[in-house]
Amino acid sequence: MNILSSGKILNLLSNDAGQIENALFHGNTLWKAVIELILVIAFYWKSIRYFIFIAIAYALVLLIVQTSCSRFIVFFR
Amino acid sequence: MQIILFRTRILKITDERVKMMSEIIRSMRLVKMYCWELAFSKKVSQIRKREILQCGFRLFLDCIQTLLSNTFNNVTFLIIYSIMWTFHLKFDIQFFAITMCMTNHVRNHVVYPFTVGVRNLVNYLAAQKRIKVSDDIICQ
Repeated sequence: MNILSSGKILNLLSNDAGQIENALFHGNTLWKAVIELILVIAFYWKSIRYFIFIAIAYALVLLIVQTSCSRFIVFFR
Repeated sequence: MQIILFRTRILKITDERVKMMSEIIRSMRLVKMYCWELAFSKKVSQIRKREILQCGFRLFLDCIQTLLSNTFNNVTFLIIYSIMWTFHLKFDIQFFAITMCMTNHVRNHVVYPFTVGVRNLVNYLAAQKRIKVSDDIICQ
């Protein structure tokens, strides 16, 4: 027990425990995004045609960039 | 190998600061008695500076994410306009309105929540690792 310093315990309680709640709260958006993209294509296909794929492609690029950014954030936590 | 070293070093900074502060405050009477304030304040400010730098790096990455998701609408429109311009396509108000609706919807219901979700999941993964490490220590 002595290896665990008081700072570590305080950090666990104040930061790390709260992250579980946040992850559960926002985790569902990850699979929801895919369904949402398919629905957007289905709904707007009639009126915008091929231009829809520009928006979708740019959104996908953003999602990939942001995911890689987040992977980098792990190094700083 | 160097990245792992860097990472473990940075993970420890906050723990180190909290530990040091609690130790100093606990023995504050001694520090005051022997007038050690200057030396200790130097130490504290040094460790705080390191933590602020770490926070700065993290916020910079957050800033990139926010910038990208906030400019999604405009950049998408810029791309669509430039493609229509180069191919001499017909453009009317109906098309503009519907496309605006679509980009707004994609931004508000796909890009924003996905960013927040990924960020929180990553934070959770980092937290889980630390919880596991301290759990192992306790269970020994």
